[in-house]
Amino acid sequence: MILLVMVTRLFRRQRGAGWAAAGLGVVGVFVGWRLAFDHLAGLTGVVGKDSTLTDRREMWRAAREAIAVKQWRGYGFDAFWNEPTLVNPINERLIGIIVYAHNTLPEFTLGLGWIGGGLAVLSLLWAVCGCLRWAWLRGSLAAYVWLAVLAFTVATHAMESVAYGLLPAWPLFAACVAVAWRRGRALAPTVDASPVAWSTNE
Amino acid sequence: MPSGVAPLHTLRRNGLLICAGFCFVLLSGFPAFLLGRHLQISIDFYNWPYAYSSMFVALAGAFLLTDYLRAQHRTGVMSRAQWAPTVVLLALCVWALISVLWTVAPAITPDRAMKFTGVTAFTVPSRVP
Repeated sequence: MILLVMVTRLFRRQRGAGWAAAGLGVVGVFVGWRLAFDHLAGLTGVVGKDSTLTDRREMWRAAREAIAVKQWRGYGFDAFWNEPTLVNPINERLIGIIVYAHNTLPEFTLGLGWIGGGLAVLSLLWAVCGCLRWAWLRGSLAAYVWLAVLAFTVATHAMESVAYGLLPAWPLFAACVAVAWRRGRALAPTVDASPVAWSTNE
Repeated sequence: MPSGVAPLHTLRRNGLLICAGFCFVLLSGFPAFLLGRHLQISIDFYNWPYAYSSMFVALAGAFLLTDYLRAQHRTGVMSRAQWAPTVVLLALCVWALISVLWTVAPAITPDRAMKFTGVTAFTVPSRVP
């Protein structure tokens, strides 16, 4: 987050810097993802956890296998984990009692197929791009605060699921989706037009 | 305006930031953990210390965010492009609702899909900013 604030404040007024930063961000996420999973055992060992992420990787594998069976429409919203004939075979393979996918995107895809999963991915992209655009164009405290809120929300949805404990926190993510994009678009004409200043006055 | 009284937009702005900080603390789960331990309630997503705190954060965050934007953009109508994210969210809700037609758990899906739609609809401002 600190790095992001520094990058936006140092480079945003330079021509083409926005697209360069976006490209670098995409590459960085891809490389970071590969590196993290290639060295997962070492990374999780630092905090005393196992490389399965408390069986989450097995749950995600089970979710992927189930999605492959009903790809387009899924099993019905929040239905899969409540059907014993589908869940019991998974529970027998894993140690714990599995009640959900522990990640919101496979959860949506499991319940609503690729159509629902695609809509969820679209929402996620809108929220991330909107918040980043807002922070890049304006660089205000409010933009950074909501970027941090979104980062926290996305991180929790990566390890838990909207179908279980995160349903109460869903409106926060949904608000980021709808609002951040509006702010980004509304602010578009102001780029490069005003001096950089740390301001909460929008 | 009498001297010494902060303008409304300043109060809104400061309220937003204070509440965001408060939400961060609650979202960390630590207050819920302490409360649950004090009351000897196990920490589970469905037990009230966690459920109430996360629900409060969600509702406060969504309300303040939409209120903040409404205050900033009192005039104007959203363009078609600006409507798009809201339409995507609503499409997700509609798809969840009609999944009752093919669900494998007909006793569960209607209830969960309605709750999901309800909390999502809360974030759509009644008056478009």
